[in-house]
Amino acid sequence: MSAYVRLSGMADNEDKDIALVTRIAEGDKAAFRALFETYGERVFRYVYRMVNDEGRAEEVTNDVMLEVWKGARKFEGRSKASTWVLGIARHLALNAIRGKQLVTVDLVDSPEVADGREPEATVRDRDTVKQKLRVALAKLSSDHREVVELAFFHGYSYQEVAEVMGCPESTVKTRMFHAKKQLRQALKHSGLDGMTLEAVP
Amino acid sequence: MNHRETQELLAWYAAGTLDADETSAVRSHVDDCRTCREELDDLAIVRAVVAEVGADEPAYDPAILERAMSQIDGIEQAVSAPGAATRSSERRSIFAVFAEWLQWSLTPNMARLAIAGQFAVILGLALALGTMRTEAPEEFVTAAGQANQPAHLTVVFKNGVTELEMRELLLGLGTSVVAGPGATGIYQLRVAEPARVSDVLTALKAHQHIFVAARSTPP
Repeated sequence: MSAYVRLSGMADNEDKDIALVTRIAEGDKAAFRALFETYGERVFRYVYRMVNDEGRAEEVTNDVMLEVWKGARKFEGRSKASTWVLGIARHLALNAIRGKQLVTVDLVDSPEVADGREPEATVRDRDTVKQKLRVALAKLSSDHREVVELAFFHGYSYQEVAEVMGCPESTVKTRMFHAKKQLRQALKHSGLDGMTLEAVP
Repeated sequence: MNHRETQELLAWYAAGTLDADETSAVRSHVDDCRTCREELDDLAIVRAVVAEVGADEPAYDPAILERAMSQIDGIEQAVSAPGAATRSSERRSIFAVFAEWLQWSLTPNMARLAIAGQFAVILGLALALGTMRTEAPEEFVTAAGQANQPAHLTVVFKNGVTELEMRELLLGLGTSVVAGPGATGIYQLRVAEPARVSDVLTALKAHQHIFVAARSTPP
């Protein structure tokens, strides 16, 4: 699996995506396949992080695909196709969480969670920093975590994050402000603020 | 670009998703600002860890697409409903907003009549009371002047929803009833955190217990 992949943002890709949705609206199955060969994994990753259940994430991803097929004629191209699709994914994932009373849990099995004990006193160990940060990420509110993940995992600009989440750009910036404040706090508590990690491709 | 503006964009600078002008403006500030440079170091770590969390997750199964391919044959595509699937700051008629939400074109004829009747009653009463607006641009509720004012929504629950289900839904979304129910079941809600009003509205619209939800002015 690719770790950090920015799949959209290039103007030609956007045009291509919009053309695909237009063809889907005309009942073109090949276009449907092409769109989700590009975005299927992204939808699944995004949904999985919201519902935190592999089986349910697959169901919702399937529902997103069908919803795009049904609703392609409603797409007017005023937003990017990729953010439109992810907006549908967000809507259906929230529906799955709230409608079915799914309980979301921390995204990571940290030692504190899994073993019920504090990590050993190797606070200057690089892996511990990561672990602390993972725990801090998992503790963010869902809105704050979503902004961080859309920005850093999915590679969305703040304008695109606003489109996906259906909120103003100012709200996205505010959520990121609070999220990074909490995450930096976790770094400081690890005693490793400013430590350099190996670059991630 | 001043320090505050730079701080707002720094995460996206770290992610490399700012446009050229913003990138240049942020860079020129960061070059002279130790605080921002330190924060950039931290954001690099955050970005790395966020990417690694993804590596632990289950793999995407392409069979999901194959299943969807086999399912779409029997699925009718909706007719065009302008603006339905995209966000727009343009004002639309309230009928267009509600018709699209109800997926009008997919609704059986008898149900259309029933919905039309109920909708007409709701709309008539709401307009008479002056409590409904067309969907406003999102900035309305988070503009500086509105930041400390609670946001208000109008909802109608579906038939058969119990008081307990209503209570759990409203409490779960951080809303409270400030007026209603009216004769046709309209409730006015207040959202405790105005910044979250869009999320709350989205959640309400998507919820199985909600017949219709829209923004409204305070009662």
